[in-house]
Amino acid sequence: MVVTSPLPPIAVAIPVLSGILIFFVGKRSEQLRNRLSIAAVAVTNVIALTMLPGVLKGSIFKAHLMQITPRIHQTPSIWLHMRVDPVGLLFALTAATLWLLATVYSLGYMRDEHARTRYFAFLLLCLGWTLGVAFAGNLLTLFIFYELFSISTYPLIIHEQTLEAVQAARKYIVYILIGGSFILFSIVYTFSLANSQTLMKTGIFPAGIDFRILSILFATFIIGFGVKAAIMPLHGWVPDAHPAAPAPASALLSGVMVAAGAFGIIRVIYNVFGTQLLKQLGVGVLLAYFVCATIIISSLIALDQDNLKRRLAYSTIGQISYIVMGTALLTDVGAQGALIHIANHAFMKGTLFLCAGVIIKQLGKRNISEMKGIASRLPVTMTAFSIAALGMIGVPPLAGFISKWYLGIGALDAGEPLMVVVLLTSSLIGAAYFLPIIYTAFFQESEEKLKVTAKRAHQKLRPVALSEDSPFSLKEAPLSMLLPIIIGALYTVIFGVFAATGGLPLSLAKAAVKLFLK
Amino acid sequence: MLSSRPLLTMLYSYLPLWCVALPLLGAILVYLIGDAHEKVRDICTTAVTVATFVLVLLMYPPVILQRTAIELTLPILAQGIRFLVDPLGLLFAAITSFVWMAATIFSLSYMHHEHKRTRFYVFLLLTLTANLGLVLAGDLFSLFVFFEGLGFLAYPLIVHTETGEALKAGTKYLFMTIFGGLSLLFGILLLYSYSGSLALIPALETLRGAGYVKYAVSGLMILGFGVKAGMIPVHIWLPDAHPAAPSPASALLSGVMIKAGAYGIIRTLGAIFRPPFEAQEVAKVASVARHVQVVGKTEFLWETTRTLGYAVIWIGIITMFLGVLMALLQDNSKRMLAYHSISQMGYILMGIGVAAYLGREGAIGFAGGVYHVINHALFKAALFLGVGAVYFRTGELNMYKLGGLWRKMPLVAIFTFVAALAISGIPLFNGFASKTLLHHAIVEAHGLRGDNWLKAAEIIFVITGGGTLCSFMKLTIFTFLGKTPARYEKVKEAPVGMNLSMFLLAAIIILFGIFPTLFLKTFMIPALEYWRYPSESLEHLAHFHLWTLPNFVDLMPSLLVGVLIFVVGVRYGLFHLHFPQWFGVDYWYYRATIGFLSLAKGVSELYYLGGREVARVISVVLAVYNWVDLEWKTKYHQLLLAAVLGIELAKEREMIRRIEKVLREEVLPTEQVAVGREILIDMTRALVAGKRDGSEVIREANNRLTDVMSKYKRQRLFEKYQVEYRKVRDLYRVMEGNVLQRASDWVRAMARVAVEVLFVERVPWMIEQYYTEEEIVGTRNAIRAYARDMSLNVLVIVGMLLLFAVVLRFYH
Repeated sequence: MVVTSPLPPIAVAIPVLSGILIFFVGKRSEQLRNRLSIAAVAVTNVIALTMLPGVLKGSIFKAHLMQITPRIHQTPSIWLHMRVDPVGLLFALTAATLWLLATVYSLGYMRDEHARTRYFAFLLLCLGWTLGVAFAGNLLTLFIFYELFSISTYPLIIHEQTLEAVQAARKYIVYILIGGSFILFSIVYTFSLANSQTLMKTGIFPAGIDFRILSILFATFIIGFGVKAAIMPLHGWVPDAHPAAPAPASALLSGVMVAAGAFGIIRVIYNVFGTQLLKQLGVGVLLAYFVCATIIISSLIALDQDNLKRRLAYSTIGQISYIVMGTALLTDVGAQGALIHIANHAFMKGTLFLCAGVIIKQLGKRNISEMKGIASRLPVTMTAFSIAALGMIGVPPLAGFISKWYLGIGALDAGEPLMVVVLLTSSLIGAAYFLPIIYTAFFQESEEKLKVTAKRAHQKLRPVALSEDSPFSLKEAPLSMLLPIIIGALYTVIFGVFAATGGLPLSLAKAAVKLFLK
Repeated sequence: MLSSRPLLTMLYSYLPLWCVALPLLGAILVYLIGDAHEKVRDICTTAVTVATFVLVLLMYPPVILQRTAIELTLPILAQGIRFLVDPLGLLFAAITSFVWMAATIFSLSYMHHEHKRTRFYVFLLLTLTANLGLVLAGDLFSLFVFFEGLGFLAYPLIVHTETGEALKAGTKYLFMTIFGGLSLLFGILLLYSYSGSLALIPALETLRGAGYVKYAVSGLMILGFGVKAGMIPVHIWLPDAHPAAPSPASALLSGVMIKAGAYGIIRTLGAIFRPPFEAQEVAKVASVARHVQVVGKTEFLWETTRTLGYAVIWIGIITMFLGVLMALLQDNSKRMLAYHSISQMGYILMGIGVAAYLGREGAIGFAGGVYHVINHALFKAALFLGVGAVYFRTGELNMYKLGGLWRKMPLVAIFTFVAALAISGIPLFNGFASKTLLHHAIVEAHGLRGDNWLKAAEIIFVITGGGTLCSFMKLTIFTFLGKTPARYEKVKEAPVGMNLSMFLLAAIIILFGIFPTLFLKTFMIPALEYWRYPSESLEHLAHFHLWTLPNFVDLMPSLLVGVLIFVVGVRYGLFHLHFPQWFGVDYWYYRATIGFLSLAKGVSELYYLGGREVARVISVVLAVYNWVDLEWKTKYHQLLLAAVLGIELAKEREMIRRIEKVLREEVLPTEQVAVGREILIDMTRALVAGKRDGSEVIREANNRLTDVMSKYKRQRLFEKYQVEYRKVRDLYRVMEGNVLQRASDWVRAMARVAVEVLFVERVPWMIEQYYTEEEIVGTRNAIRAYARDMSLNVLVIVGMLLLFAVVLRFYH
């Protein structure tokens, strides 16, 4: 059932307009700016949520906005067209919720940073464009929002304006724009081949097109979106951009922006080509094996990183490849696994990055080797970090386990037990790079503390002196930073334990699979 | 009465959930109470474990007496968590909650001087939740969830002391556990994908088409459970983790948690990898022809079970033998007990293996294995607590350094003796019954199938029994008998709580020892009935006579071997031998880990090397690209500057680049800067063009700069400039010769000063003071480059369109 509804364009417009408004408001009143940002993101959330029951029941919301190109002879006109289906809504809800967490977190994190108005304005703009990507009803709309999104991300990455940030942002934009040109090319060519651009459920190509051309077209699509989805060797910008950006921005980068690339690949696989055609082409499994290499190599590289954010960034590269792999398997369960992993990964990795932000802000520590015993100073943060990290490893009953379970079954359904081995090996390596952080933080004494204790013992003084700056005292972040972290960790638990409950990612993923795969 | 029935059933059906939830809620409560109210917290912890034990016992009437399994499905997680309490599960649940209760009571006094007690108690209760959930789980999914949970939750217990040694052991434990979990998960996923079901029911029939996959599945599952069970060769975490943990935790680890692995293997072999139950029911009622057909069909399926069983028998035999061998060489008593845990798990594995190997006739192996699980939980927990009590009072774990303690702590000595006798399989103690059953099982396996290798297995079994006896003679004699070292003269009896918990365990040990068939009748026969073993073999088992002469005679060789080893060992100091490093599996694991880490490092280095090379190529391309982008005027300036100033050094070149950049970029309308720039450009231009004399340029420049400086009252800068100027001027005066050379020196020096002036002057109107000039300029450049890159983008699109035009032309 297709319903015309004004909700999708409104959901895009609210953050975009408030983002523009913030440019003018921001200079005058900090408080107004903060309130406006939070309110805009919250309202966007509510709007996206109102579409949830309808979409779960099987209806699809759409809106024709404006004509982009006129009709020329046989070629139909192209509209700016929005369409909300389960996959899109899943992505949109994930993005909007994570954005809410990151925006609240930013209030605390950005307190003493410069150029806050610019930051908040672009933060909101990005949310609008993301929702546009999620709700895009045809390829050109998708592309327009995708590119706007890519470009609006630039100020967030370069925000700190250090040399490192400048270089990372430069790298980012070159990578992304080249990827964008691949996508544009593929879209134009798709348009000329299929004479249609709607994202239909069975694929849009008429029968009788040369398979070689379709394979090349598939490859250019994957290269285009693969740059953002950080498929190796197109991932170069990720490990630089993540550590350079402020923590809330890296959380969004990892949770939503990189996932946007995977989202594009999902659209290409299910909606542009269609599973039937891809099975005939035989490129799905090829892609799945290709990303398997990414999964393993990125995990191995992550193992060697000492900078926490860099390690997380490499982990993101591997995790997004899970999504691509699950999609490329072309099986029901694999697709479900891939789709829920978008949401699961977003919240888990988002929480991890936010925690990393707290560690940087409160203790000024960026490297894992310096993190001995920090759990006694940041107990809440490190507990949330541990939950999210265990989720990433795939420990039941947390969210990551559900993804792993579905992806594993999906791989076996596709007759590829080797991919399960890859999945599990990556879990093992994941454990090898996440667990040391947890146990150094919780079970080892910090060197400062040992030094002070030894000194005091030597001087025969009382063992502990509590002052503001002593290496023993609690140094937990303010509530605006803690709350998003706690909620993120809670999501990790809820998405795992109550995965089967309606309204959570799994139900949307199932609806999507029903729509596209059966 | 009638109406209360469904209510009762409903209450019963929620019992497993309560058993699992109660410790979880208790853990939350204990965490909330925390260190503030120590007494309340301790009472709370104990009460929760006692209540859990009672709740588990409440399930006895419906499950055992009424023979109805309790089922419950919770719609959480992806597949739903299912509980199914059958006699076997209940049995494990009962022993789990009982040992937990004893260990908790023990830890109240033991943990008194330890740090972070709240954490310990919280995780003690959480692991109880996981362990109970594991044995009450109704399908493989739920079982796996609790299995993984148990693995991770036990970690804080193992590393509780937080010493380096404990952390090392903990890490080893953690990674072995994860490895086992993943292997198990792979097995379960494969099973699910081939048989389409995760229930704990026979699945062999549905796997018939799977070929060798079924061996892969069962192998992976046994490996996964085996890691937890301490099966050789994946046992390596166990001898490190047990001594590192506090004694109550070691008692739980060894007594109960590793049994989770055994439980899993029992379920794998006994419930999943076997032909369907129904076959034999059908056979009873059907015609003879059908009977033959059905039996033929199941015979075929039994073949797989038998193969697996045979493999597990040998794994068990090897595990028990090597475990004892290593145990004999230990001096740390906890480490010795840990190796005995491995060895005793070997007994259990062998029992399970015999059960699978003999198929329908395997009831005795099954009974022996399960009985030994229970017995081992009791006596091993008692032993760990006993050693723990000794450690609590003396602070010493090395048994050779202790002695004569029975005078100081008689109760502890008695309880430890009881447990030691039990583990050695002496009559009147519980180990005797299960060991005899297991011995019968292996003999029967040999007798019924006629495999001669199994005769050898039996001999190893007997020798292992001797080794066990010997090693406990060692432990008890060196610890409790002989002379008391002087430093332990003031040692007191252990606290009441410790003795109470050991008393509980010892009482059950003796109870089971004196009435060995009590357990068989109350628990084992119903369990075997539930598992549809033929009634004849159950009859046989129900009337099993333990107290017969042949059984005692069978025991004799084992005892003799034990005493012999002890005498010879002590006489010739054999117990202090050490195997070469390469002999241990541990060494090879270590090597493998190191290898893996260096692989990761290698990959990472290769990656960065590749990255650097690519970056170099890109930077060359970018340099050309930037060069093309520059204005022709700038290019000209740069070239001339480079030529005139004779720049060979990269550093100088860098400086010129910077000057150039600042000159080019800086368009801010401040007078100072504008003037400074003017001067510099003038001078450069003049020099480059060679139109004016060097000295003239200098004088003029000096005047203008001095004007600027004085105007803005930059005293410090002015002085600096003057110094520099004088130096340069002197240089000019002194040096005769190549004017150009001197001038170029001067320009360099002046340029440095000027750049500095510019930089410092910029500070007030820069947004961020702490950014260097380079970064600001870099930012601006990057933003400009951003715009430029867009053009590159268009270029790429055009290029690709062209490429595709070519492709299309080629194809059409």
